[in-house]
Amino acid sequence: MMDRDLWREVWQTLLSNRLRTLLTASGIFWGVFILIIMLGFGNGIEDGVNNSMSGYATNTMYIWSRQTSQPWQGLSPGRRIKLTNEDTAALERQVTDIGTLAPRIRLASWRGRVDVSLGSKVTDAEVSGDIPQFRSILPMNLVTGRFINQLDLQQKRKVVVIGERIHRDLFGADTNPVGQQIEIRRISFTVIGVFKPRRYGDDRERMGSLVFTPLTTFQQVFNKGQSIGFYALVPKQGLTSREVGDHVKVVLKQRHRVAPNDNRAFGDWNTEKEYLRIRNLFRGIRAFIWTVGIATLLAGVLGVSNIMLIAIRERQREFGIRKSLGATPASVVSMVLLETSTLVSIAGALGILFGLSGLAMIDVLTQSITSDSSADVLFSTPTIELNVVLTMLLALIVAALLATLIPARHAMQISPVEALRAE
Amino acid sequence: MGENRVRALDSVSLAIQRGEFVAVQGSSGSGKSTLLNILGILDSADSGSYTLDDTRMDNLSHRQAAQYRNQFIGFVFQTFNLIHHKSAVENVALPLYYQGVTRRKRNAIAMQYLERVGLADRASHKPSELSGGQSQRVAIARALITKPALILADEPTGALDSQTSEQIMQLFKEVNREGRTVLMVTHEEDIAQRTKRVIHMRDGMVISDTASAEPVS
Repeated sequence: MMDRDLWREVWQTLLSNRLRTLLTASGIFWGVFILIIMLGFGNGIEDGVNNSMSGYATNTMYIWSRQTSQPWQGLSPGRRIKLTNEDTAALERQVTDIGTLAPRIRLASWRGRVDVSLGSKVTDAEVSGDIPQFRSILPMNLVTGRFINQLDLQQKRKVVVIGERIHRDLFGADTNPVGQQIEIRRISFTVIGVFKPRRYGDDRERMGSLVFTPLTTFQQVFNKGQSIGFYALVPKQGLTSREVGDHVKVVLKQRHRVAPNDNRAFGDWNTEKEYLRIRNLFRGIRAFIWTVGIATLLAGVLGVSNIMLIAIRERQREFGIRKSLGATPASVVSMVLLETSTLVSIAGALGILFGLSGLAMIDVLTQSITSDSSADVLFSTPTIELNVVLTMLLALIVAALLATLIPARHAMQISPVEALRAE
Repeated sequence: MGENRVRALDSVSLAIQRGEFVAVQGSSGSGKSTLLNILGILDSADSGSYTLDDTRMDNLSHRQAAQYRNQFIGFVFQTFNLIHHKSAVENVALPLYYQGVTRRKRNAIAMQYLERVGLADRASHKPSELSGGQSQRVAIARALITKPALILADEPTGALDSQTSEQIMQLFKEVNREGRTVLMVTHEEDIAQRTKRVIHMRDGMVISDTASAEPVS
């Protein structure tokens, strides 16, 4: 019919009931605003935790060799198995479900420490020979310099990447150690980088005293020949480290003539439990955010529905008048629906606008702490997905329309003579 | 629908000619409002038929009913029932909105009707700024704007003092004199006596239907 006239009617009604309009609008505005702020905050926390916890969240398995416990192919039990570079090559050839395979070797035994020195200063460290890929298995932040690379490995360069504690003890936290020489068992190494472990508490303290050298260099200078101490491996995406670890052991058992059922010849340990715990933590955070989010939205929807219900009741008389003057029930209902959707859209859009501005403001205010990648802040830039926002707005509009439609239809069934006599 | 259904109207047979001025009297529950509802096409009878201006008003769709209401009938209520957020002229123009008349045009027509009821100077006032008598005159102007054949008034003077009632009745008489049929429900005897025909109802039935004593001047 006459669209401009209809809009004029809608606008007039909305403006004529300023308090009611304001109340409804502020209900929707708040719902949307709070939800955006909360989801944004939740995402910020999740990202923050994700960043900080990534040091734990790897799906790693460690496999090392021990002594055989069963006779096999004429060999007696109690034989010590020694892993070598050839085993590494064989594993890379034969076990295709390995994502990353890192052969490692240490000075001293498990978690044993050796002295490292700079001039007269001495401290203790866990020194290992590693390949560049190990960095993806043990996430770390490089404070300065770089990690071991392929060239170091090929040229057997005498270089080291040191942990933050070694750096502090030998050089002092303010000195850049890159390019300087430190000694390990009287052999000089050039420092090429300093790292900070992405872990917390004791773990962090211990890992801060790790010292990485290229595997090939390590084998040569410390007289290890072709020896490998143990393997650290991460399976390909979607596989468990347990499955892949079993494949690795089958190959190693064949190569070292170990009985297939000899479970003591190789030891293993994996981080799957930790990994699962972190994943559950994330799930928990997500579930919490969504529960609260949906509850907030629901409260908004209920609030709006409530106001709509009251508004319709209040206007029963007006509907009666319009009906008696020749309005069809459909025209009255559609007019009210148009009022509602106009109101909800405007209020919702304002809520989105202010919510996003709020998030931007939070981002600016927290920038100083979140931008420092090495700081232990469990918060990151708050973000929100556009489709979540739009879905939310749509849900609000649909709910408000339903909350309008149902009582409005009901009101239209009341005879105007009754409605107009009342009061 | 339970066992104890009440017959609001029972065997009512009425014929009202064009140009009549009728009062319907009766205590509450006598079936007056049901009759008004049916005559106003706001409700339909369970059985029986209603013919308005040679058109059967049974089994109409919502749209048709609304259209006939708009064309044939003008309503006047005891509590005036103006829309409070609209000015006097907008209230009067509202029936034309539902006929699709443009805003400019319907407001111009509404002004003529306001002039007729002597309220042209109150055109931009909201109902809250009008007295009871003024409000009812605005409501009558609104009822007249579609040039309906039938004016249905539900206790039009019920909320007014006697002097104002007098003015309103005068207005109804004028409207009737122009040839429009006026039917009003009232419980006030003196008001009823100023019409040409009085119908008494009780328990949903018409118990008397007499020509009024007072001569119509």
